[in-house]
Amino acid sequence: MKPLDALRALGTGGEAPAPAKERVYDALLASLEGATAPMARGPAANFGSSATPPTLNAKLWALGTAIWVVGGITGAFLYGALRPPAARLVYVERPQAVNLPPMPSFTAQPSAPPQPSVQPPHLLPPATPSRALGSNDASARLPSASQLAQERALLDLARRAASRGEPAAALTLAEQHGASFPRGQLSEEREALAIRALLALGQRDRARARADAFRSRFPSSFLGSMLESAFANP
Amino acid sequence: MPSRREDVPAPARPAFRDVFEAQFSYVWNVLKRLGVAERDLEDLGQQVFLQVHAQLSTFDTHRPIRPWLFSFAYHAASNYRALARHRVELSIVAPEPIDSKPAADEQMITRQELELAELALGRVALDRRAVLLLHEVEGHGMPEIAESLGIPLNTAYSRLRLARQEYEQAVRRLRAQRGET
Repeated sequence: MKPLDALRALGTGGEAPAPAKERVYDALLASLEGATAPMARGPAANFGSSATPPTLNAKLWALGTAIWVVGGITGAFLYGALRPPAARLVYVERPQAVNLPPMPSFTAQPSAPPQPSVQPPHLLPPATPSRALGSNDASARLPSASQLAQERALLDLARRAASRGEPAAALTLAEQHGASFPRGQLSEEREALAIRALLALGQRDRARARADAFRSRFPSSFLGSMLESAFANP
Repeated sequence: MPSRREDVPAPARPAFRDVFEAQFSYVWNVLKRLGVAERDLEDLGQQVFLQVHAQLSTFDTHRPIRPWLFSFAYHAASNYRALARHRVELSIVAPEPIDSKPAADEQMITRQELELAELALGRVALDRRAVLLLHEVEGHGMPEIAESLGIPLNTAYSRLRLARQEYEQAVRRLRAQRGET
């Protein structure tokens, strides 16, 4: 086989790992929801439009800068007027080390509803009223950084279990999060994890019911369309 | 009959979610082939799609989307490799000596050739490798490649010529290492 023939035969490559794809998308959501200003134009800025010559001259720079500034001001005004309620945090994928008890061993029990395990008391923060999603009650205290870290750590464990092909474990951990942090800041992500775990366990009806509740609770969630894809592509 | 592509009604602009779903694996593999380490693919992938999200509204839907996406991946990989800590010499581990006698299984030979092709591709300079991938592997035309990478057409052709030379040279060396004739 000629060298270039082998090169052409390579093709564009196979499928990327599904867990990596999910993590990247979740991280994108976190970045996009946190963004309040127009995205900075990076080195590929020249490649968006075939009508723009690859090299920018001073006039284009000035026009682009003016548009960016006006766009930024307009965006900030619109954001202030239309800002979503509550300081909603979105889970990012980088796990942080938090001391948690060793993960119990899980056995797949697809027919039994998962039971949330009891958290050792010393790991649970004192009862802190977290901001309910959709609430504009300014008097509600934001959860402590340690509580958020614990939420994230639990969901990291759930996510890793799912990546290992252990949906029962992932679901149990998600339910544990729900019991420990019923109105936690990462409730949206927990629900999405739980729904995907139910689908993986073949509990489609339960997954669908929970997805309907998810849509009602988080109508503008970016995770919604990904969940629909999960239902469409079992 | 429209004489210019601008006269042809533009296809509908794809939603970002659809672009991500359909093209994530493509971007992932492009980043790998442009020398991004496995451990950094997710970070770079996120960077690329953040850029895509920011500029999707400017994408000319007359054009094929993959060269456009490739340009983001290429610049991300270029910046990544410019960092000293990522500037790993291509210490490609010499493949295990393979029995040079022709294998009875045609598929085995083909797989070996494909592995060799991947290794040799990794030895081509990044800017030339980009042109080689877009043209030889993905089959895009040179004008489209030049426009996507933001380089003059002559430069694109020059890089393609040099890329082919480097690639074939790398194949010869790798075959020599393997004891193949």
